[in-house]
Amino acid sequence: MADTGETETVSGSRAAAHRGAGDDWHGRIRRFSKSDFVRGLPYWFVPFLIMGFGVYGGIGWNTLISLTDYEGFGQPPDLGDLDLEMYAQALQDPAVFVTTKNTFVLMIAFTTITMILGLFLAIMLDRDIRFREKIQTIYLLPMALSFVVTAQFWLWMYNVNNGLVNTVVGVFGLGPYNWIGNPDLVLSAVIFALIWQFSGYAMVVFLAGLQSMPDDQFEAAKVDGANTLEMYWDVIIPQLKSSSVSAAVILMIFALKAFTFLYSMFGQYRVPQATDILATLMVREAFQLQNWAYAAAIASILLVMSLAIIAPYLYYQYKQGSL
Amino acid sequence: MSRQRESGKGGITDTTRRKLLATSGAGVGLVLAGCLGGDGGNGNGNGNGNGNGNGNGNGNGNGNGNGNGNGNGNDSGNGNGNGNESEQSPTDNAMEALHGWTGGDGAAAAEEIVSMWEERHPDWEHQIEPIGGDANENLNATVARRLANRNPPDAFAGWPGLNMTQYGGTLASLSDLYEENEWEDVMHPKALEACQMNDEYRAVPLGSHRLNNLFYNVNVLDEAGVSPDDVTDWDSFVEARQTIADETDYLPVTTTTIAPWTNLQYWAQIMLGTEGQDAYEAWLEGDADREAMVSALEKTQDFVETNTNEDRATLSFPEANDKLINGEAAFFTMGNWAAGMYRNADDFEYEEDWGWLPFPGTQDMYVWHLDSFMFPQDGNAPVKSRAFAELIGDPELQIRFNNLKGSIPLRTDIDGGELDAFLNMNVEHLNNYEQFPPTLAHGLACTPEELDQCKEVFANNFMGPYDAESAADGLINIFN
Repeated sequence: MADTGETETVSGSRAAAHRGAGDDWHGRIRRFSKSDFVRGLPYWFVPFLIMGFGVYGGIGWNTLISLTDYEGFGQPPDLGDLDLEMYAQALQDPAVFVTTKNTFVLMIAFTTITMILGLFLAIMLDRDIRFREKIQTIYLLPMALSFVVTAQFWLWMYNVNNGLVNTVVGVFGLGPYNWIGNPDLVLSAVIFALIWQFSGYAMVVFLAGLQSMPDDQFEAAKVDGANTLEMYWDVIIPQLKSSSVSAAVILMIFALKAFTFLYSMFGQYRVPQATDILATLMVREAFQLQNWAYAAAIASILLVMSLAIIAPYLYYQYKQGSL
Repeated sequence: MSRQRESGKGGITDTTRRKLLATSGAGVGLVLAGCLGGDGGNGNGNGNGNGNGNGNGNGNGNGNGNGNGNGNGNDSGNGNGNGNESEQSPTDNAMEALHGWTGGDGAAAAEEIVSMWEERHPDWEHQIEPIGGDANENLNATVARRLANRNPPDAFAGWPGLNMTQYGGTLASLSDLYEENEWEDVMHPKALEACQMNDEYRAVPLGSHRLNNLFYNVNVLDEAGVSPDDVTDWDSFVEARQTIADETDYLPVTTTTIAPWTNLQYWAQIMLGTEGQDAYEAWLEGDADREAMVSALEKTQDFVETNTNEDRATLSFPEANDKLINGEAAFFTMGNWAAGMYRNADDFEYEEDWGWLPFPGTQDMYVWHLDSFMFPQDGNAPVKSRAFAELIGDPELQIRFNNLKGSIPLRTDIDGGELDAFLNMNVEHLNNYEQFPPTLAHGLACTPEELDQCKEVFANNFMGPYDAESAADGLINIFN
């Protein structure tokens, strides 16, 4: 048996060696085709393809258009003549300057106030009141509503003569304000409506963060003699850092998308100048004025702004090891 | 030792893996086929459309190809294009016509078009659809997008004249249709002028609205003791407003300022009424009198802000008009499509409950606006779209449509007895006046780019804080 084994082995090994040398790449392909990458192919390839065409292909095409001079509908874009003229024009356009300023105001005011309000609501709810689940649902419901619906009824509520807001404010003796007509107030009115819609989301994120904190920290703080305010301020809120970062990122992205709300509220491409943001400018330039290349340049600027928000967040997550 | 097959250890078997790979490959193949097939379809569609739609000769095909591709071949392409169309047989595609009349009287009038088409061509499918919005904004945007995607509708409603120049190179010529139906003899000469581009007729006029109207509620004026005959110029109008404010609790004027086109319209009327048609047209030609413009702008600010409804920034014009119908307001100015709302309101009769005045200072002027239908060259159903064009110019349609829409038909051979009293009065003015300043906010006075710039100037300088000086400078710059 040893002989045969040896013979087999010898011949086998020679055969194996022969096979090994000649089948090296063959073996690699076989191993590759059995790897997770390929075996998972039918699952990830189709969505990858769709994402590739839909999202990244769209971004690429948009960037390409922004480098041309395409406008109107008379002729197809001239892809031979690419330059950064549209970006230069955008950086000099006073409308871009005004809208960028409005976008920042909207983003910062909306995000900070929503987060503070959401945190406040989450802390209230965390203290175990009656009907907590129902109240939580009620606070979260506005987020389920479409922007089109909320824009329309906020428009009615802000009506100077018989809107709900002026009626409520009138109870405290404050005069009727022209929320939409007065250019100083209209941006605040829009921000307030958006805060109403999203504070439920911020509340849910913070509530999840609060409830995931171990109880012994509270007890330890109490033992050390901290009162409620100190406990919250020094112990609990710093631990909500990761929740607040993720909530802030989502809210800032929503603020960049406030176009839907503004378009539905005013029913047209041209919104009052105080509420004109980059998104409304982009849509107006593209679909009302047919300046496709210019609008594509503005869209690229918006994309860069969004990336500037998300990139630090991703880096932070990466550093934390959770990416 | 037997070597165990790797795949037998815990993973999927060979057969299953092959099946999965095959299915995913088929899926990918389908996706790719769908994408490429879609593009190919479009390419083919256009190719066929051009080939069929524009005749059988080489000249026609080439002309059209150049026209669309480089925008150079306008004249040759359009000129030669469509002579042979009527010899074709109709395709199976539905005839797609887009218009902007979504609500109120416009929708009712558009229904007339649909029912007449169904009466005359019961076996030809149609897709006559409204696309909503303020002064055709959405309709224009949709049409522009469709034209850019080389997928135009067969017909669309729009304003001819300078507004039509943006579609240069894409519209079919209708001159032979005009000849067949002898429309040159019958249509109002201003309409014929407006429907021409590049020496060919490219639009069929449907109805004309008048812009320099001041509607009033008879009862409110009676209560305030103001006689409509006294409101003849700007100063008497201001006086009348003040009297109404002092004597009654009603709003003297109801307005809407939610969109720049309404402010632009008010300013155009006030400019015409206080500074005259010459000053207005001088501005359009680049020779503006800045003082006159600033003064007209200041009056517009006064018109919009003094003694008007506080919620004007959030109302659309039908809602503002409702205040007049409800007896809460005295005066309202808008194109006379607003009179359609009066007609549809119950128990609200012309001359008993509501009346009409020319906007103060614009007597003897008919501020000219025209609705028409235009026909792109490479629509999907060329024979049906020509039939539609013929239908639009038909006298019966013009009567039925305009009676409901409140616009004035452009055929001069229509029996006055078929139209109501208000329309008849306007027809008389249309046929007898000599001053026809073109409307600014509705596309006849300037090209679409210039109109957009006017709206931008207003939106930036004259809709929240009202800055007459910079608005005047902005407006002057557009035409210089």
